[in-house]
Parts: sequence; C-alpha cells; structure tokens
Amino acid sequence: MFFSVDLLMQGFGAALSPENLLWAFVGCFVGTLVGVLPGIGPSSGIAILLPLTTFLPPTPAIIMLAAIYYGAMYGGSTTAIVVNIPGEASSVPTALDGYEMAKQGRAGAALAISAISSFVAGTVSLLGLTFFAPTLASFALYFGPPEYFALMIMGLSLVVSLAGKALLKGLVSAILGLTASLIGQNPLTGACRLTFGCEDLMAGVNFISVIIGLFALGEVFCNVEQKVTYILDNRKIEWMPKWVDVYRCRWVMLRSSVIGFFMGLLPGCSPAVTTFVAYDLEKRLSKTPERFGRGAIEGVAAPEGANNATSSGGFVPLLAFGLPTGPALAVLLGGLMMYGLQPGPLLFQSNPSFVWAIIASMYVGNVICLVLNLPLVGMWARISLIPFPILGPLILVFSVIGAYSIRFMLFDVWVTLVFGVVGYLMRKMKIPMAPMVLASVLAQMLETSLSQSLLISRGSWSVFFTRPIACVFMALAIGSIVRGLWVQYKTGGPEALADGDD
Amino acid sequence: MRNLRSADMVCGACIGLLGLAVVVAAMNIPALMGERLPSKALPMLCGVLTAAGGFLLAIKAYRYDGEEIPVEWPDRGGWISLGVTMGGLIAYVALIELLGLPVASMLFVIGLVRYLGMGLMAGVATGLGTAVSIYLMIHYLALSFPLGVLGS
Repeated sequence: MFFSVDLLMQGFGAALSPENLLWAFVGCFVGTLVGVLPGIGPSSGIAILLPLTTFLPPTPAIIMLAAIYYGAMYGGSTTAIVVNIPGEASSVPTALDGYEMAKQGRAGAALAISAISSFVAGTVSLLGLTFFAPTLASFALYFGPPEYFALMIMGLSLVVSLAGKALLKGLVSAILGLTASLIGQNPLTGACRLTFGCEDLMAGVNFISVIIGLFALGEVFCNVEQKVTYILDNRKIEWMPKWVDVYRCRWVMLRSSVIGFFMGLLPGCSPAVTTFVAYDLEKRLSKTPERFGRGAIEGVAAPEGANNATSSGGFVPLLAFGLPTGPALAVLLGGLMMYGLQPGPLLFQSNPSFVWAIIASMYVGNVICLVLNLPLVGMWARISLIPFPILGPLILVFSVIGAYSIRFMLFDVWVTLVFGVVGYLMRKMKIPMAPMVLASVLAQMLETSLSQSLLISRGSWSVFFTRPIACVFMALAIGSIVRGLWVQYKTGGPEALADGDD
Repeated sequence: MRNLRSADMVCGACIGLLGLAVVVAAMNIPALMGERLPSKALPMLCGVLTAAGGFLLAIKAYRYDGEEIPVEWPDRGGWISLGVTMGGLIAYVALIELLGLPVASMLFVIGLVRYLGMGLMAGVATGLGTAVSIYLMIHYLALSFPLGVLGS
C-alpha cells in the first residue's frame, strides 16, 4: 500500500548520511545510559532530552529521539542482570534468570545474549513495520476495553506459572500487588480509596516504586545483613555466550519477536506485559522448565527479544494512525508534533522521505546498538567486581534517585523504602516477588478496561465472551490457569512451603 | 519464626488481618450515581481475597507436617548492620529536601561506605564522585531535584 523499494532505499540514503548517523549514534549511546539507570526509563529519558533536540532539523531530531527510545530498551536489562535491579517492569523477567547467570559467573554471556536477542527482535519487528505497517495498524483498532480486560486477565493468569511450586504464596503475592495498586484514586471517577485517612496516599502507589523497592533495596538489605565483600561469589566472568547458547536461543528469539511485535501494536500493552508473556511461553515450551529461574539463557533471550520487538511494534500504530501505545511513544508523538508533523496515513503520502528515513534509521540504529553494547558487556559486567561496601550505597542512592524521578515526589521514595522492607521479608519467607510486580503493572489497565467494558455492555459480563478476540483471550487465560494447576497437581503432591525460583 | 512453617503462620495471619482492614476501608467508599462497576467493588474483592489468602496460608502452614525448613534470619551483628543501613537510608531521605540531593547523597555514601568496612579515602572519594555526578546531571539536564544548600 504505502511501501515501495525506492522510498526505502531513499530512506537508507538519508539515514546513512554522516549527520543522521551521528545523531543515531548519540541517541543510542544516551538511550543505553538512560536504560542502565534504575527508574529513569525511556519516557523520562525522551522527555528530559526532547528540548535538547530543538536545534536540529526534524529528521535528525526524530532519529535521535527514536534511538534514545530503543537504546534505553537495550540498556534496561544491564542492572537487572548484573546486580538484580530491574530499572523497568519489563526487565523483571530478565532479572529472574539473568542474575542467576551472573551468580554463576556468566554475566557477560547474559548481557551479550540480551543484546543479540534485542537485535534479532528489533530487526524482525522492523521488517513487520516496513512491509505491513498500515495493514497491521488496523489490528489495533479491533481492540476495545473488553479485549484489553481479557488480555489483562490472560496476563494475570501467568501468576500460576510464575509462582512455581509455592502457588498459594504466589497468589497472595499477586493479590497484595493488586491491592497496593488500588490505593489512591479511582482512575475513572477520582473517588478516594484505601488511604486510611492519609492524604499522601491519595497519590497512589506507582509500580516503579514497587519494583525498585522489592528488587534493589531488598537485595542490598540481604547483602548488608550477610556482610558480603562482593555481590557475586563467583568472580570469574564469562564475557561472551558460547555459540551453542546462541544457537539454542534461535527459536526463542524469533518467537519472542513475533509475540512482542504483535502485542506492541496494542495501545497500552506495555513491554512489561509482553516480556512476562514471552518468558512464560518459553518456560512452558521448554523440555527442561525447571532450569528457568536458575540461570536459563532462554530466560534472558525471551524477555529481552519481546521487549525490543514491542518497542519497535509500537511505531506501527504511531506512524500509521498517530496512536502512541505507551508513555514513551506519546512523548515521541509530542516531538513529531513539535516539528509540525502529524502522524497518520497522510504522513506516508505527504512526507514519505521523512517517514522512510526514520524507518531506515531504525535498522541502522539496531546495528549501532548491537555494536555499541557488545563491547560494553565487559564494562557493565565488571560492575559486579566493585566491592559491595562501595556498590551497595551507590545502588541505594540510584534507587532513591530513580524513585524520586518517577513523579518528582518524595512520597514515591518513602513507598520504595517500605517495599524494600517488604522485599527483604519476602526473600526470607520465600514468597515469589514476580507475581506482585506483574499484578501491580496490570492493575490500572485491568480496572479501567473493566469499568469501561461494563459501561459499554450496560453492566453485562457476557461482553467478555461474546466478542471473538476477548473470548479467545479469556479461553487462553482459563486454559493457562487449568494447565498450571494440572501440572502442579501432577508433579507436586502437597504444595511446597517454599520454592527457590525467586 | 525460626522455621518457615512458623514464619508462614505469622505472615499469613498478618496478611489476613491486613485483608480485613482493606475490607473495612472498602466498605466506607461512597457509591457514585450511574456506576456500572461500584467504586468499592474491586477494593472489596481484593480485601476479601487478601484476607482469605492470608488465613489460608496460615492454616496451610499450621497443618504442614513435612521437613522443617529454617529461615535464614541474620545474627545479632547482621541485625545491627541492617538497622544502621535502614536508619541511614531513612535519615538520608528525610534530609534530601533540606540539604539537597547532592549533599545528602554524599553524606550518606561516605557514612555507609565507612560503616560497611572501607577506608575513609574510599568513602570520601565515592561520596564526592556521587555528589558531583548528581549535581552535573541536575544542572545540565535541568531536572527538578532539590538542590538544598547548593541552590534553589
């Protein structure tokens, strides 16, 4: 429809010009740094750096902003793998296996497979963007609130799998995450709830605070208590993955690319959801699912691939309809509008050279990110060699900065501290943390889409089973729960008090 | 609380009580006209599920008769280290608005690095490096972090 080889070649011509290459490189580099810092995600990164691009013409400016976005997606896994601190919700599944790999001295291999998987997924989803953008963009328009609610229920059903053998503890963890997310104001009516008379709680609990508290602070508290000298016992680091590891992950990368790309087309479906879905799928498909959570390299490749595919997939509805699928792309949309460019079908016709230069630059940017990240693997992996008495306080300071930068409110920092203590206790009592994170990420969209669905259906719950897409997601959710319970029944006997997955 | 069974019983009971508190709080949420999903519905559901999950966890642990799994609580020295770190962190956050992020971070890092066993020079160098990095980040990216004694 809109695609032509000539236009794509012209786009590559523009993207490979020295000036645009330079800004793509700067964007990738800055984005990687932004991704590495806990709490400062791509949306904050783009928003902070948007004013700095005003001196550039539109094409290099948008190339740089897009590069910051996917550069941040590349960098987001670094701290999750090296020090068990996921800066973003989407990095939580990466931390589950990535940190275990780091503890086994394979931090370099985990970081490298994360970069390779991100590159593969980014490229696969860019092919989708190049050839099928307008067709695929219409897919997003079939999604109304009932479909989103069903999708969120499917996401929540992953708790059964994430909980491992300690199913009840996993469910309790997820319910606590949901309850915490309800604190504050009702997103539709503004009604105040669960604040127990405390005005500060009206601001609500942001899920980034939950993640930073549970993972970063909880981890530091455990290390402080044990008076460790280094965060990892194993100080021999494997810098690169073995070829056999990459080969083993080939289908994992492709599957997670497809999942990430299609889910990335949906507004509101953040990378946090797709990474959990991709991780869970690989765990279910694996012949040795017990390795997941204990340093399986597929457990790093899958979420990282899905993460980058989602971010590239989000450009389809953005460019084709002007529909941002997440906060970072909304800021990018603002950047486009700042330059007088209105994304939508007309943009492909009125400004083809601009659109195809951006798309081509993303191919180039993906290569830059890979070339930039592979040599940096050694540097990032060395973070774990810093003595803990220095690294621990630095992690705490960056956690505080990350929590504060969510909404520039000290309240978020206090919430992070509370969840730090919760994370410490959950580690001691072997309560899985991933279900709490998943539930707190999904909670707001779950509630909003449920309220909207019931408004549309005039209060009828059958809306989730009479609309085909919603019905499919509901069936998948029910199937996922039944399967999880069945597997546990078959393998378990009485439920274990503890499981080492987290 | 020395083994996981007793820890689960205490933890389950606490979560159950928290769930009951959420149920009580949810009952006080006023209903609004024309709502298809009452404002109190989800908080109430979560409260009930939290209470049920918590008490079920406690009961399951009470009835557990398998192998005893110890909880690895810290020794006395570990509790002291944990207490000092948490206390330092609370003091640090409380002082951020007064002293500003760079200075408060510097003092916190110097203090904790020293407490955790590194030399004074290492502490001061790390603290100063942290403060300068944060200040430059705030200054050049025009971020809205409190600067305290270093400016507005």
